[in-house]
Amino acid sequence: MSTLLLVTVFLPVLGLPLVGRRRESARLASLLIVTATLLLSGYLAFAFPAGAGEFAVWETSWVGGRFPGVDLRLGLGLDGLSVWIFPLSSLLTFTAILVSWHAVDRGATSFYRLLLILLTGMLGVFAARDVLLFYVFFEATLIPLFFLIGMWGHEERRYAAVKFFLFTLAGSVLTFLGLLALAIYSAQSQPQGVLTFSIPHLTENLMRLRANGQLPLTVQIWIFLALFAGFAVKVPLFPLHTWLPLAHVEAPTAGSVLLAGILLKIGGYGFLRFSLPMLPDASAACAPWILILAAVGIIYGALTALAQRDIKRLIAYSSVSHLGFCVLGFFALNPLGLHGGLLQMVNHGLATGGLFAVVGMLYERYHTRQIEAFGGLARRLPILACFMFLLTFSSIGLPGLNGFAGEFLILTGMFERAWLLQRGELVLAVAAVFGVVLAAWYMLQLVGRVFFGELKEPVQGGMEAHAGLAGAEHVTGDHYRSQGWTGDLTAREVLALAPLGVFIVWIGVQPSFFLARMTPTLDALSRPATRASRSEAGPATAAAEAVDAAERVANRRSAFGRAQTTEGDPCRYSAGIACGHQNPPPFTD
Amino acid sequence: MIPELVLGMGAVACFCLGAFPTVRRASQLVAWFAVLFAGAVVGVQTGWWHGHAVSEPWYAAFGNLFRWMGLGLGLVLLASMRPGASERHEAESLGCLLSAILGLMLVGGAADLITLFLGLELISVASYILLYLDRDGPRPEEAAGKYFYLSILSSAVFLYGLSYLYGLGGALRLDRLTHAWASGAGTLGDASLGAMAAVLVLAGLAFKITAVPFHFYAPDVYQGTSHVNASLLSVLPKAAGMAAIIKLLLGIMVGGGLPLWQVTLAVAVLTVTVGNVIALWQTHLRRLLAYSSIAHAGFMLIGLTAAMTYRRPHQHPWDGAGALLFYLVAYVIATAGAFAALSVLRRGNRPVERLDDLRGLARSNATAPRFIAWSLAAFMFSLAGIPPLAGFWGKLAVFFSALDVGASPSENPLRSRLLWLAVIGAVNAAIGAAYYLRVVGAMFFTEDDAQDRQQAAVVATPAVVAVFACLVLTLAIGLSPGSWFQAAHSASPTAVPTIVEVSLDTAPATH
Repeated sequence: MSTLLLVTVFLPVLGLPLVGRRRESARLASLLIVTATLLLSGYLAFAFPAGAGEFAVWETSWVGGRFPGVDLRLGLGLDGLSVWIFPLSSLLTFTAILVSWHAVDRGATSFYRLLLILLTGMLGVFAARDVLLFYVFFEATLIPLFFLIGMWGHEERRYAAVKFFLFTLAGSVLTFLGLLALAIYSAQSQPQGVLTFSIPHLTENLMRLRANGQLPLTVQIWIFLALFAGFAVKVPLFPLHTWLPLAHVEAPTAGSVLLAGILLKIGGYGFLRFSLPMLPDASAACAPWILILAAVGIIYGALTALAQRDIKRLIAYSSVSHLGFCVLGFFALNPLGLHGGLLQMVNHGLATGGLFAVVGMLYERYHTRQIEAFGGLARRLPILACFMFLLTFSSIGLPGLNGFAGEFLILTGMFERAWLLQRGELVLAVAAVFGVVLAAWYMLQLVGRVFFGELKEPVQGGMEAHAGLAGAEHVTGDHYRSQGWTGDLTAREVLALAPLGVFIVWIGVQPSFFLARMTPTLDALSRPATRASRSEAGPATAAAEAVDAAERVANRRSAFGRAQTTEGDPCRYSAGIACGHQNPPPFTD
Repeated sequence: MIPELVLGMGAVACFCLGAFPTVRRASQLVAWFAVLFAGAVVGVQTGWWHGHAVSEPWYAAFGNLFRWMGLGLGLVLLASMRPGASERHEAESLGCLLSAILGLMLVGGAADLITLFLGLELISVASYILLYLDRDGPRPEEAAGKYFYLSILSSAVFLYGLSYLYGLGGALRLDRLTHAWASGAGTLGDASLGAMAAVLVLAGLAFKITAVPFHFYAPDVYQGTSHVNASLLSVLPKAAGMAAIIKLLLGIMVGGGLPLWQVTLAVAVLTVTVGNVIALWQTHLRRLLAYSSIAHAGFMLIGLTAAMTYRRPHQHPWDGAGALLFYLVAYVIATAGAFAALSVLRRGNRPVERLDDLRGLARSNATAPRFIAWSLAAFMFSLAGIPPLAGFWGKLAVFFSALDVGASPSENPLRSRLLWLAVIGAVNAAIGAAYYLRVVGAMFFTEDDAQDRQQAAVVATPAVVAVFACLVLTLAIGLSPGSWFQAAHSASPTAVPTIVEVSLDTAPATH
């Protein structure tokens, strides 16, 4: 398995030479490579045993045996945090290649090669078991995306690419310092300490230091803020989000799909991978502030989305809102919220990635993204409309689809925190609920205007010219299709969207299957922070006891099953949410 | 000494050949042969071919590092010297180039003050002539004049500092000076004498490495001359200056109990900030790269400052001096590669000089300009410190060396200062990325819309090979930095070589 993981991560880069000069062969070769990667990563994910901590770990020393005091490795592995985002990267790249099939005309070879490099970067980020390796992949994803936005984007692509790159880099250099500081601090606090960059070892060391009282809160907070700088930009949290709508709107469809679907998740993943487990006290101390930012982001993103006229821009702002939910879940600092946040990251990837793909398909047909240019398309493009409805319902959290499972867990987690620890935060929880309502409003308004009502198709200024051109050159070729063709989805486009739809429904009806594989890692990583947040909330006695009592009660009575404690079996409560009437879920070993 | 002798003889041969018009063309051959032969000798001496080094006791790992660097740079610069650009003075130019490389190698291996100064001057004198000979640049007189006067001044200041050093330590040999300063020569009697020596030496060398406030010449000089000369000026004096700084400040004076780190910290912060911030407004490529080279000197000085503030048993390769050397290697490769890439580009009869001249290079129809565009992008990303390229590891090493004190749990009084130094460095790394991205953006994201101008085309094949070599090195170091860290790490403690006395009169003693 471990070798298989290694092969999976580097397969796209190894396949680069196969991507040939001609556009047709380039896209076919890259599609094959990505399909192979998708199959392998899907196999890895589904081979991941429920209840396992880590899986398919592959490691070798990076700097060789030259420096005995340094433990720097090329280490890859999957665990509960990465097990679903990892195959999601391949899946969305598969979609991205299919939606670019006709859209990318110029420099196709470079385009597909960059997509493949980006895929290796994304897979590597989530599989990395070493701090430096994580950072290398993290930054390495910037370069291909920078070129993808800048070379194949829309009108303001150059500005968008540079802004995207600089925002991310400015945050991530501070993250880099924070990561180095963690390694140095952990090595120097111990006599003869080996300088380790291995994430599990580092976490273990830091927790030992913390138990001995050698990791004071001030140090934690400084390092936490350094890490926060990079991750908050990437998420993006409210005041740092300005690069996102621009980058999303200007990027080519494939870029938007991957940016929204995967790259935004690196920020949240970083919180879960580094901030929470390594700096639990600082996480607990900063949580109230971050929750405020997240809640503001939810409302702000939703209201701004409501005011947009450009479909892509609307979805971009909805991302700000939805990612706020994920962060809200993480920093509620209890198992419900964490599970919900992590699941919601996957859900958002599926739904928003899919929405961007659909918008790309519309744009390919009509060359506009203005909402008022469309109307009643459901009759004109029924299959496309079906997918749009599915994705929209997933996005607004319709029960039975994946978004509901994620958002419900997040909100429950947030209410639990607010109720038990800090009543004042009820305001935030209520605001988040309003965020859900607003999401339904802007998304349904969008669907209503574009797909229902009177049939209204954009007037295509260039249509006749294109038609003439097509007639003159090649009537049935790609050119014709990419320019003036307004039929319903082709098989290729259905193939691009269908897998997303399958998972949207699957996660919706059986979230326990997905949550069960997250639980062991998530519990182990978040336990210190969860405990710290309880003692943070007040004198350790009353509040913590209240929580424990509440959980004991919950264990017996709650509709979510009997698994609210960290040692428990949280897949039960999710089963309760989505399909309470069903038998106990099968994956609870 | 064989490689140095080979290069010296090659330089002399080139100068001599220049006097005879009929055989002048052979100078090219002589120069290539000299560099390659010297490289082969270094290779044999360091044991690349047959496993064990032929020991030359007066040469240490530090010297060898600079030998390799000098010879590698020599090949890149030779390849990018455009044949025909200054045909009348081709032989002289090649001779000067060989002398400059020789200078760098001498500085790297110098074991006493005289050799050190000689090496630095060899580079300076050769570059004066090169600047005067060059007719490719837009304003050769201005460049040459400015560089000449300021360089002479800095040499004088440096020499004045050396005289203090000699006076206080009572020796010219570096190892004896180290002992003398360790036993308090620097603070003997009036402590200000030692400080004076340090400040004067640093001031003189700051000119070579373009540290603020001795950086003013660099943008004007680079702009006024050709790409090849700018390349030479931005790598050779910088490498030699850094070698001299490590030898004199780190090897000798830091042991004398003076708080030298205060000076270098201030200079580092100023240099890195000024270089990066001013570069943001540049549109001329050589000016931009001049400010970039100023900024990189600042990053290296962060490593120097860290090296001055602590001495601990190094379990990791990222101690200050090792970090500086590694950073230097990464910087030199990327900068030389970038200038070589620029030097092969032409628009019609004109060299590519402004950011606008690069427009649409990556969208060219021919393969060669596209290759140059991608290489140039790789060098820019390496200079910006983006993984997985060599520059990233340089930045890692430098920041790590500062954080090694700055983020340690011990109550070191310097802790917060080095922490802020690292933070300032990191912020600057992000600022720096902005102007490197402009270069990349010009090549990739814009169309070549100028109708009246001619398409950018690639001339001069050897330089393309040099670009390719630099690209391979940048990627190779980026993917597997271990052995390079090892080299830099093991080189830094041998900066002050111990001299083994060899007596020529009697038979060598047998043990």
